[in-house]
Amino acid sequence: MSDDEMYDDYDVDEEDSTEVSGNESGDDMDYEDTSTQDFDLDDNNSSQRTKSSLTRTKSYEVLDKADLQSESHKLVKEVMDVLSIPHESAVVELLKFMKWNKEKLIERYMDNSDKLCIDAGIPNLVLDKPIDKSIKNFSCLICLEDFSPQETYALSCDHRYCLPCWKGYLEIKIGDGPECVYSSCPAPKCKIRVHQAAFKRLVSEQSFEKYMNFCIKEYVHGNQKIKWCPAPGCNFSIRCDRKDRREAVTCKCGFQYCFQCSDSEIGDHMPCPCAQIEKWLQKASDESENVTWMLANTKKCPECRSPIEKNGGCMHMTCRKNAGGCGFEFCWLCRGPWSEHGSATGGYYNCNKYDKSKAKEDDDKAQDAKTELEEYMFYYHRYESHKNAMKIASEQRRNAYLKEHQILNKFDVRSADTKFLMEATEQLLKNRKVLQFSYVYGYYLDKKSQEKNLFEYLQEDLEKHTNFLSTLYELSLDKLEDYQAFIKWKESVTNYTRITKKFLDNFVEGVSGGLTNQHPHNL
Amino acid sequence: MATSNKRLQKEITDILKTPPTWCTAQVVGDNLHKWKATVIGPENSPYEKGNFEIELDIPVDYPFKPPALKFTTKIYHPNIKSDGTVCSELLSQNWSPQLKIFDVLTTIRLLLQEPNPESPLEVEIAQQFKNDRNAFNKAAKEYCKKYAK
Repeated sequence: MSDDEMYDDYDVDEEDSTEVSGNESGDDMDYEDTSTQDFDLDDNNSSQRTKSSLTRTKSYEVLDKADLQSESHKLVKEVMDVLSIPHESAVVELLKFMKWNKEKLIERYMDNSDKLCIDAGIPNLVLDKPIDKSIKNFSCLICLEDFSPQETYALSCDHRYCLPCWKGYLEIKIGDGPECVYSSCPAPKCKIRVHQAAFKRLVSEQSFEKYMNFCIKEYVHGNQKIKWCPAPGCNFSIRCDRKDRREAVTCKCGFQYCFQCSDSEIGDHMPCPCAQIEKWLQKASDESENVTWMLANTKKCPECRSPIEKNGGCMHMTCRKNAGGCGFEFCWLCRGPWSEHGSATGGYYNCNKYDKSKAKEDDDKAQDAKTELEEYMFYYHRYESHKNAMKIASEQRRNAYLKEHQILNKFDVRSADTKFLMEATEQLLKNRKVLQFSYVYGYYLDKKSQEKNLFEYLQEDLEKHTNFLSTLYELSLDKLEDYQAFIKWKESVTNYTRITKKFLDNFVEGVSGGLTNQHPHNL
Repeated sequence: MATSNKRLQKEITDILKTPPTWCTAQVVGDNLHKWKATVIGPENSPYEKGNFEIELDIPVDYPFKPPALKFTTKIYHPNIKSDGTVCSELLSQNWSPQLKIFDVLTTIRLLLQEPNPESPLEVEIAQQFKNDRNAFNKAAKEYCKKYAK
């Protein structure tokens, strides 16, 4: 995908009628304001990016039940007009049969309307068979009772049943679920479909409402451009006109997710492609036992880097040659040679050297020597940390809310003056989410490539910015002595939220578009 | 419930009035929703002259939902599991509320006459049915003699 192609498909929130305010913190921020921009992916491209960010048009739309209803209704009307069919219910059956593809329906109808109508279960577009007035008494083949003809109904196939049996039959179909929209006549092997008007006439109002909901579900199901929002309990759906859209869509319920994989648990996984996430999650589930155990129970021998399990006992460890080790004796806590340990370091069972030791540095230095699993664990560990931070998102929102109230009480300010806190919270959550998936992306990058070098440099920066904002924002209110101090703090949080947002946007755009010429897009 | 009771009452009355030659059917106790039936193995099949007992569980939504049935007589058949259950698709797929218990028994008789090895419940029997009809007939006959008296 070329850069330009990428940018065709981006949303400008100013044009976004369906966006929920407050959810996208800082969306109304001035795009021209470059004073806070301290980061450019590429000087040549930056001006083009700023420009394109203003001209991008929206390519998705959030739809509620009423939207879907009026939309499908409009489609039905269009077909009725084009093909001059007077019965709405007949057209609905034809459209359902053709998966709501208007063009294909018209084409097939023009080609052979009789066959199409038979296949769709509505031959000759006849909805029902009128009652034959000459018959005085009628025996229903389902309940075996007698009825007057006025108490019966038959579809075009003339399989006539009493109204109570029709009601029972169709309401049980509705109770069974979405397949009720494809119900056919109760007669054995009869393929005539029970259309909307028949449902309306034969079932209770309450059941008909359920039926209509299933019809809408079916409309969404048949329509490849529309999908339900995957968030649990959400009734919105989203239409996306671009098949290969990678940027997240935001539902009115607030859930932000990738339209392609529409996964309620993964949500938005920028900058990774869907396939990469799938691969990663598969790997995570394959390796999970190994990794959890390794993280919990082993350290590496400071000499030869073999993983070592401590199965009890004191801190004196020996890297056993029998188990493929090197024989090095060391301290479990500081990973220094055991020969340096004794009463001077707090006794054999204690080690006060740990803090001073270079144990952590050793880890970093020895990265090159890491085995595949260890390398994976490195990424997995960071991926998990950010993921866990996301898990407490609701708690963080609540804390921010509480803090807002404390501020309102302490400094006697307007509630608009505390909005920045929520914005910072949302920004931090967004950053964590991207960081989480950036470790997946990083894991799959070619180790020695220029792309990976640049990527890691930017990732580190993003991590740094995120942590800085996090620290700044978590400042205890006790430290703010007066109103002046509060305003100063507020300004720096606001400012840094803005910087971080810009940084994040650039990171996501840059990474998913490829930082160098050799970016690995097709993972 | 009202529909199903009335109809089941009529069905059983009809069967008792004009009993079919190849099957029997009766209500178990005073529960209209539990039936016991026997189907006599069709002529020119390995099940000929066998008496196959079948239990029918009739749902409250009957006849909008089909009855569930189970062979209580052991039978060697590709579409009937060793525990006596019959592929439910057979009944639910083409079920119509217009069909009666008698029609269900007719379907069973047809199944004894013509097993359907393409959608088997007992894969090995189905394979034998396709590849070695003589051996299948022999085994089915033996089962029939032993269990379906």
